[in-house]
Amino acid sequence: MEQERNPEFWVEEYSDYLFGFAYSRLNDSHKAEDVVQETFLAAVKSLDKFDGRVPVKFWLRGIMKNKIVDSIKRDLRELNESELNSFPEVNTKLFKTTGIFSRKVEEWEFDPFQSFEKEEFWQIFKSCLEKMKDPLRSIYMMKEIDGIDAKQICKEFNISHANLWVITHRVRKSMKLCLNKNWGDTYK
Amino acid sequence: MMITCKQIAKKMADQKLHEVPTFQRWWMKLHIKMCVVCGSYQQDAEKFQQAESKFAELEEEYGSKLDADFKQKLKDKLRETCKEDNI
Ligand SMILES: [Zn+2]
Repeated sequence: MEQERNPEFWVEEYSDYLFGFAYSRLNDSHKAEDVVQETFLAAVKSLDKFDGRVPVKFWLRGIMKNKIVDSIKRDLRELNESELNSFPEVNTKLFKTTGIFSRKVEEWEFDPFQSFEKEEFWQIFKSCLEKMKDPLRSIYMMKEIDGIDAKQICKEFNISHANLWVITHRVRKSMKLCLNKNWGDTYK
Repeated sequence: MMITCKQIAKKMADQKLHEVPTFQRWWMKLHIKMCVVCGSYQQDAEKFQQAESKFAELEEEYGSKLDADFKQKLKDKLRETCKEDNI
């Protein structure tokens, strides 16, 4: 238990894991390193709030999720204003006229549930995810994979629920195309 | 009462389903069950949700390694910070 409160032990034990987590969301090793460092420093400062109810690894990961949000926000600011609206698929007007109604579902060219059992499928899934366009990809991951509250995401990135929904919709659609292409023939 | 696919899509996108009165919500659920478009959309979304939560679990080990130098510097920095803050 003592160890669990020792920051150097954290680095030894969890920094590779946290780095991998951050890297898969930020697609940039320097940014991922920064986020890991910010996480540990923030954790040291709030060590007295750690009550051991969740394993320290997940406590650290929880802190890091917010640091990842901050990092993406920094990026968007650097890339300059209203970044999200410049994506045609997220443009609200377009969304209102077409996006919301064109919900025709693309076919799965393989059996999804059986595929979920295969280890190789997840490698394809991961590499497809890497090909998705940022910042849509990272916002999608926060919402659908990391389970960050939709309200929080909308507030942090200043987007509407409808736009957030479109982001998920678009990324899933591209993911399916990519999976069909790269997995569809391998396993039917 | 008529509920259209349009209305359902709108409510789902805005995450305002919980604001819908119970009676109307019942109709919406019925519509999703009966309607081919809404139904297949719903089913598709469920497949993705399952994939996403499974991916979140499997992702546990990334196999990525943080640079050794960086790790050492990080430890030094944390030691410094702990000293400053008397932790
Ligand atoms: Zn319908």
